[in-house]
Amino acid sequence: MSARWLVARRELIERARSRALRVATLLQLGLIVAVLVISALTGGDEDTKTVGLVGSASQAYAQPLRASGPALGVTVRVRTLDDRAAAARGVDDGDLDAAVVDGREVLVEHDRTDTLTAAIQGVQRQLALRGALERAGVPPQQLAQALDPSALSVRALDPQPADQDSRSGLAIVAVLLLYIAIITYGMAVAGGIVEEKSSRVIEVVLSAIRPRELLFGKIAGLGALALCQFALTIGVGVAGALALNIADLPSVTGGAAALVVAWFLAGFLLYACLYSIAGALVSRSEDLQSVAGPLNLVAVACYLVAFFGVTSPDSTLTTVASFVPLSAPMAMPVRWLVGDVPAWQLAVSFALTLLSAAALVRLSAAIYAGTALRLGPRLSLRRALAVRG
Amino acid sequence: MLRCRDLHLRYGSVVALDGLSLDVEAGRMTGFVGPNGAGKTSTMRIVLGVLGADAGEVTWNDAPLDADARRRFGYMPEERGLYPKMRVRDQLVYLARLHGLSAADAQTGSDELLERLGLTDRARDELETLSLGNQQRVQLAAALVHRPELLVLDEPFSGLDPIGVDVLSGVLRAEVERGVPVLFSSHQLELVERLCDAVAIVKDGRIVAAGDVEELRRRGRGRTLRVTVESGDGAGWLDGVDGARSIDTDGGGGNGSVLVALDEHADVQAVLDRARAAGPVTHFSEVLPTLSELFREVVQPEPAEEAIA
Repeated sequence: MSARWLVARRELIERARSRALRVATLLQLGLIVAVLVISALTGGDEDTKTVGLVGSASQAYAQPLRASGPALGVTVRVRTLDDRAAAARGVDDGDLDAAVVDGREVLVEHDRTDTLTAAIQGVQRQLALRGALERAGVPPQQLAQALDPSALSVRALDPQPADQDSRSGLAIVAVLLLYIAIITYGMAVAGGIVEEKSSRVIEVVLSAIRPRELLFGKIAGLGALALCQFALTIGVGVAGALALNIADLPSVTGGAAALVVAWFLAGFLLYACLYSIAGALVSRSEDLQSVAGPLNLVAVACYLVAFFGVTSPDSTLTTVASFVPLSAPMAMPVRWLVGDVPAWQLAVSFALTLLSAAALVRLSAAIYAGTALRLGPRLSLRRALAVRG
Repeated sequence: MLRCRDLHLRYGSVVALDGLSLDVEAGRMTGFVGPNGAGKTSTMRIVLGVLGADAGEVTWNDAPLDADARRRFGYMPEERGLYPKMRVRDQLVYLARLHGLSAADAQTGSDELLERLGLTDRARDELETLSLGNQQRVQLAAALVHRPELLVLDEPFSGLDPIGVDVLSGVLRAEVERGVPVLFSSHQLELVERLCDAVAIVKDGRIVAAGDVEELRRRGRGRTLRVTVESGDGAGWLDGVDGARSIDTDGGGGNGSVLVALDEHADVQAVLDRARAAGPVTHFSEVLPTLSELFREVVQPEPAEEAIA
């Protein structure tokens, strides 16, 4: 069995044995389940609006309001109430979305200008018009034609897929998971390197194998562990969403998950090499934070750019970010999930990321080989590069 | 056998090794002594391949040393350390496998060694929960677990209590008897003198004396005898013995003890005859300088040399 494989296996087993990892995994899964449950509980009645009607003057609203449902994209129900106080209570409790009192007043909880209010105002104008036309002696048939013309056909020039909201949600979750996994396991690589120096075990290990075998075994082992955790989280999320029936998962879920995983691997390799350079520069864990800090900031910045890309997938910033190797692993999956990305762009961006990862693999191996046995104060990058391997 | 030839190493402007040559022979325990900073650790690191020399050659059984051969060496670095949170047995199995053993061999090797070092009941504990003494034993086990073909130990005795010293000496002896060349560095010269078959004394990056311990102690000096004649008074009895002279009459504690320097023609038996004639002889032995004395002799600069420098 190759040395690299042995090192990777040790990393995997020893990390998996640690309580910290188990707690973190459970927390992450708990969070996913909580989000799913909350959206199942709150999202369920979004498709129905209930309007309370008080007084005989309001009864005429019932039929036109129900008829306006399809235009609003909801089902409108009406309920007759005894007095204004009951209506106010209903609105306040959330049992009613709005109430019409004596055909003169509309009660809503917060928003005086939402679409339901607008629809009620429309019904009021329609009723007033009908009254005026009736009084003017317009024959009923003509009246019906005037008040209920055949609807205009609506054509969207740039139609959104039916599952647009789900795609955005998926992108937000995916980019968050990518960010967490990359930064957590990137830091684990740096921490593992420093731990071997501070515990002095490094010299024993390097008397048996070469520095690059140790480095890439470590990255492979932690990467495999990260992948397991990543896949577990996604699996629980997808299964939970299906079980709780939270809405239409996009038709592309399988392919999207595979794409996100591929981007995770490329992004992890890229960042793991950078974090290993940070680890190579110091020999005590106290010094690691200051070296890894700038790198963490870069990762956060890339995450934020990708996150805001969910709402503006076609902006210049998001497009550029989806090609820059450090941000591409987060920004490109977002663009792919939310927007319309030509396949060649995906391929070019992925190739660029892999190429830079390959370059960083060589660089980090050279720096690590030169500094692995060096104990003492923090090195500058320039001096680390000058150290002989 | 291991052969280092003309090793050179510089750290910036500091010369660490300046043409160091060293042999470690099979079936012999070789002590590596010298002042701090003389180049012992650098030499050992070069042998183990964790450090590269600027120039010079290391051969193993007459072939240039490569990574495969090095994998079969055992090493205890001066800076001790293993994975603190890894279980003792897992750790040994892992290191044995890094050195190229199969899973089965690594497991049997670890179990045997833990048994031998009295650590079997701690095998499943994390290393950091062990006492310091037991951690040292695990460190030794880490150097031995893959049944190395050469053992290199940097200050293995430092920090050990007398029992630990005995355990380690016994283990090293057993390795030597197995035919393994053993090289260890130490500042405890009495220990080196007692344990080692050969010694190499290093100073300023080069070897200043090396070879069989006994030979080194005899080399380049006339023989010296300590003779004690009961009720003897002074060294008067020695007068007239060819090539022998008294150099000290009370170093041995007074009562008739005399230190006798002999030149190469002197007849030891003649000295003994003369002493017996003077009275009952209670002590008659050859005196060799201790390794400590030898060490000071070769390592400390002559006053004149220092003046020139």
